Amino acid sequence: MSNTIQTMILVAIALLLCIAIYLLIRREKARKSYAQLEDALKYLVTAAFDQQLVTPDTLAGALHLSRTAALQLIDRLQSQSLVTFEQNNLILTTLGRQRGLKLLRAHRLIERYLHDEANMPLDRIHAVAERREHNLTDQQISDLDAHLGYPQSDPHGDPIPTPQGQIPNTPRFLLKDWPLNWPASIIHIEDEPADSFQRITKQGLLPSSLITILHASESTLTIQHQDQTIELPKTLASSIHVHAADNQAIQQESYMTLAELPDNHQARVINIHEQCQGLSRRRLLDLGVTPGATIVTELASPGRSARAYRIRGTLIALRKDQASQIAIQPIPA
Amino acid sequence: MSSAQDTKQVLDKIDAIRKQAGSQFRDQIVTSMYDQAESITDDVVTRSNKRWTFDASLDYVATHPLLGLPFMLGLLALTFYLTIAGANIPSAFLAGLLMEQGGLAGFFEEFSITIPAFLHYSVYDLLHIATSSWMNANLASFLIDGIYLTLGWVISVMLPPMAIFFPIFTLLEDLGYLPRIAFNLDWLFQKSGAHGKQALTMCMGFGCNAAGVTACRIIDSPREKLIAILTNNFMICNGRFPTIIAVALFFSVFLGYSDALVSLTAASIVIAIVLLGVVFTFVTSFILSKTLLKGEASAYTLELPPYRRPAVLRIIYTSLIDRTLFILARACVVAIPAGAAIWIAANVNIGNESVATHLINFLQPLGYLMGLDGAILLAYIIAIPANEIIVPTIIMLYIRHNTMIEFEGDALHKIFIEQGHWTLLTAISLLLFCLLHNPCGTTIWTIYKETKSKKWTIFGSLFPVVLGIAVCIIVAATWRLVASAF
Repeated sequence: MSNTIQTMILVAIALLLCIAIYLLIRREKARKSYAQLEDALKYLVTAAFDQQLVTPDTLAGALHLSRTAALQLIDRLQSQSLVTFEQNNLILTTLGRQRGLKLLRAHRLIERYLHDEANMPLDRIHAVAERREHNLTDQQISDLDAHLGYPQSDPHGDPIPTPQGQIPNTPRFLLKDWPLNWPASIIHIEDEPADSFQRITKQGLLPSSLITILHASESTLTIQHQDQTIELPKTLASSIHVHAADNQAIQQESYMTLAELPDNHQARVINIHEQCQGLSRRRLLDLGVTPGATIVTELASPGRSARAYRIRGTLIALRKDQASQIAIQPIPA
Repeated sequence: MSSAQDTKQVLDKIDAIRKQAGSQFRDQIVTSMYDQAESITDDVVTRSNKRWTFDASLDYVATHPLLGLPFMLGLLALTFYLTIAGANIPSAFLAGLLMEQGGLAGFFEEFSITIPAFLHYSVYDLLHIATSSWMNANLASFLIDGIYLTLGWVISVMLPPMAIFFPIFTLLEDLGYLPRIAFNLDWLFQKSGAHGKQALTMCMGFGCNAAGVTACRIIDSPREKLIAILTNNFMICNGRFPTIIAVALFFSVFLGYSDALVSLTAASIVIAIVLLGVVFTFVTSFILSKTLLKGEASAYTLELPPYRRPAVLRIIYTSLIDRTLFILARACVVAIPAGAAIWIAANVNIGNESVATHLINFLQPLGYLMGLDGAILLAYIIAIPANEIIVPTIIMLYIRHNTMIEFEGDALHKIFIEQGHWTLLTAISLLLFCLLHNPCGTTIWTIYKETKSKKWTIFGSLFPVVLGIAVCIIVAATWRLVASAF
């Protein structure tokens, strides 16, 4: 008798477990397909911005889907009247464009947050933002925007859509089309594929870096950046956008950085580099690292990984990578 | 015009201005504020132009590329030496007063002083005498041998070292020396992918791991904050210092050193364990930032404040009331149920053996593998709520047979050797396991509150203890292999 009861209880537990697992899998599937739908909209919006046409095949390639899966996805997009077909090209409807822009805005704001406030390395923020962008409400997005101080672009240099759904369009050119010996500022580095983005940033090239192309061959570009010459394969150069460097940027380049100032020397702060944004910039400003302030190198830590500087009467330790974000002009002793 | 329209106009205008102002806007505001502040201070503050102030000279040594680290180690060594050398006598006094049979007679005998016979009673003796006539013998034993005795051990083992260590540590804190430690060790943190301010949270961990975990809020990068939280347990907290100090003292007595050398050896052992903890912090931080928490060390700013004249009264107040008594009270609160549990476990029999014996026998194989024994492991399990009571619990488990031992000067060592059959290996393994084991209950709860993640809380609680078991087993096996070879 008790055996039957025991068996019944066991069976009931097993059944409950199965149901729970089934529900979990279904929820996960729903979440995934929702994310996929949104990713497709986001891709279509960026493609429209770059004035590229999207066919089902290009969509499949961009989202890493099989052709059948991509067609199913397009069916779903059509049934929710988010896209229409024009010849073989996918065109966003107003509704689809709105949702895509909202997602793009969320994605780029999250990237900005991760980079500026959470100090996440530049090559990891895209992947994290991909996961986090799907479940933000309108209110949360505008709160984030306000918290970050209404940034204009994401850390890769891509413009952030406004709440009204406009994408600020500044003229930009592909690096491989840029003339020789003509100073240029990097304004954007394409964050996908992640691997080539990493190879570019490893060379020290970042949005707002000042560069000059010295020489162009069949396959590589020889680039001058600060004191070094970089050999950049043309395939990588096609994911870098530039525009003409203004005088201020060229002037900036000629300044020494705080990291290069010898021990026990004085200098005047010119400014903090444009790349240093968000929390770290605020922190430096709060400590009094403002244009015109006098700064003295006083102590070096064992291993020289950090130095302590006296500024406005306080002693502040900065690591090398931070000190190299501060442009200075040495004051002769 | 309606107010809604007004608002909209204002908002639109703000938007337009914001776009014009650009990214330099904030810089300009801060600059103008600083300029104004500077012009005011220039008017009213006079500064001396002396090149070598007291601060500068002290910083020259304290952060010198070569002298800085030895200076730091020297300070650390001095702190521990003072703690150990100073805690010995008050500890023996408290043990005599509270627990030994014959009261303080044994304590004063050490100094060749004989005290009158009517004083030959400790509080423990008096409690037994006072209750013997009217209280049920079992109940009296439960209250006195169980709860009171555990409390007595907690107080006599913990109070003196804390009362010396905390004021010294608070003094260093008050002086402004801790940021210099962070500055000196920065290269290590940068190499291990951790935040430079982790040095400060580690220093807090010396006081209490739960406080250290809470202090991790000063780290603003979430990745590095998590690393600092998960590795804080490798800093020996004050709850564990008495254990380390007691075992270190045992160690030096076991080696047969003369009195003068005992404190010195014990201090070196404590420093070795603390440094080992620092090494483990860096190694695990490095491994974590290469595996589970990938990333590079982020930028940070560290203020090196001017040295301050220490406020002696405040130091004594904060270190004795806020820290010493607070931790002692917490230990006592945990010690009462623990003492009760130990007494019940030792006096309730299943079959022919007590519950404690069953548990100890069950844990014995693992204990043996780790170079410890079942009683020590059981003590660690009982002491999960508060690490402070590990040594008292071990003692209580050893003397569980209810036949009280005569306590004399070296009571602790007698218990360890005669009842626990300790060897050098036991002492070494105990030191290692004391460094590498699960955080105490409060710390686990704090980790959960700070991370809001069950996953990281479980990870943070289990990975040190797994590491500890592994390290102890390796050390014990090597020790036995080498010992059998000779």
